[in-house]
Amino acid sequence: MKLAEMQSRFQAAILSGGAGATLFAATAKADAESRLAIYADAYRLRLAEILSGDFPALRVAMGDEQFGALIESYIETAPSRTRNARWYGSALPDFLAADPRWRNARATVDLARFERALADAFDAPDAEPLTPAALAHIAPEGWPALVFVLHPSARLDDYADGVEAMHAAALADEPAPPAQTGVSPLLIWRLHEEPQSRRIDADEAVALQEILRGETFGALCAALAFRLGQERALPVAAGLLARWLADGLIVALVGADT
Amino acid sequence: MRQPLGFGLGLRPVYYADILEHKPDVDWFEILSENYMVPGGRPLAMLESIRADYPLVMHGVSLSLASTDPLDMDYLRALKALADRIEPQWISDHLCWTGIHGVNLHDLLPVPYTQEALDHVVERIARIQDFLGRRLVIENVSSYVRFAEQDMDEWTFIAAMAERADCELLLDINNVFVSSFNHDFNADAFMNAIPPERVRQFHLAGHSEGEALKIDTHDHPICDEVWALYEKACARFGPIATMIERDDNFPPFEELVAELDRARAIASRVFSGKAA
Repeated sequence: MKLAEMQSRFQAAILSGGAGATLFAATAKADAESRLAIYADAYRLRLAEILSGDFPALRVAMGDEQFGALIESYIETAPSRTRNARWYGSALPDFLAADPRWRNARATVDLARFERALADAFDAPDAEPLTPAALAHIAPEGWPALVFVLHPSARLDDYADGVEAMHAAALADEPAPPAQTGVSPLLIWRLHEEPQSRRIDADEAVALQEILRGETFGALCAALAFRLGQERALPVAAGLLARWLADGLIVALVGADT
Repeated sequence: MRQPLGFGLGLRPVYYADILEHKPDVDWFEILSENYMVPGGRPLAMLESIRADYPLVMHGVSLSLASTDPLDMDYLRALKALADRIEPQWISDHLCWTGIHGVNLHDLLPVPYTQEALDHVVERIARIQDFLGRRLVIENVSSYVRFAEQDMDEWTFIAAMAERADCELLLDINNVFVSSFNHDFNADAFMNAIPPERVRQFHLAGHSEGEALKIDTHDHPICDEVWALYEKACARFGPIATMIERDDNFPPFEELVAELDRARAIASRVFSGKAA
């Protein structure tokens, strides 16, 4: 038998947990079926360990039985196609959201998304945050054309309210906080090697969306002015900028002729 | 002759604080390459800090050397980028495959010891070594199955592979022991077939007892039989860089250092006996 055929049959036997033992020799110590079963069992166990390690809060929040059912379905449906186990669970939140058993459990789905987003922030690309001093030399007429670049880990998305408290409670093995019904924008990023998250208000969401689209500070101010009026927009923009610098969110300025 | 690297441990996140705070008496660390093939963040920051004090060796689990899938260029590029960044003493992976048809089973699956597989593996090692611009160091795995169709023993395959591909070998002494038990062969026969000039590194590790077979789990201390085999390996292969793998059931870091000291004592006894 050719090597490719042997590998194809061996892999199929592991994935199905079924037949394929004729590929292998038996000995007095163990028959071929039980030898093959070591690989088939280890495969499921290993992927389950990877997912449990990547979603510790989801596991606590769902309970072992539900979480076990979820990852068993995921493993059967989605063999790993990544070289690095780090990314095997990337599609688990979407899988959970699409499964009829859980798709209406918005808080549970968002807890999975939140946990994944924190992991993605944890090892997102590096970039050194700017200090306020970096803005000191910019001439007033240069400001409108400035484009702020956010840290590569920064992501803005809507999550069920209270998902952060659910996450913290699950990791501390404390009772889940009362469920909330609303959904609001959550900013996730990394500061000093640790993933961070905070809820943002509608003004900040508008401003961050401008930055994430690569728009200028002038466009950001115009978007805020449309919401708030010219007079209120500038101090709000200045306040946001100060906060982003303090949060280590700004890593570069484009168009700053200093 | 190159200077042996000495006695190393696996770099695992649970021990980062111990290593950075106490600068333990460990000659070098072996990293799991894939753990650091990430865009950025703490894993790479820790690696940079530890690299300032210790030589590093890169050990991969996903090269899938023996797979009949095409070589994964994205993986190889990421591996090379990490090597360019941290300048490891060497790069190792396993004589195994991890999946085909684009699937990764995240396991070190054994190769049938056939002429066809040997030709296939030798040709792939040559291409990978060309790409990386350095020799690979290839490790023998623990296995639980033996293919019904085989042309040769594992050790004949490995010796031929090393010579033909001009690669180096990572002799995992626990894996020799586990496989010798599982497949009823003599561990000495395995070790005696390995060309000494090809061996760049030893692995030592603990294993667990399955129902009928021994399982390579890296979650126990090294057993006496493996220590005895290590002593024989020192006598046969000389002062080879030795490293202890621990991947689960993590003990306090000092226990691993104490295990490493036992390896040092064995090697020292063997070599002082030789000198006398």
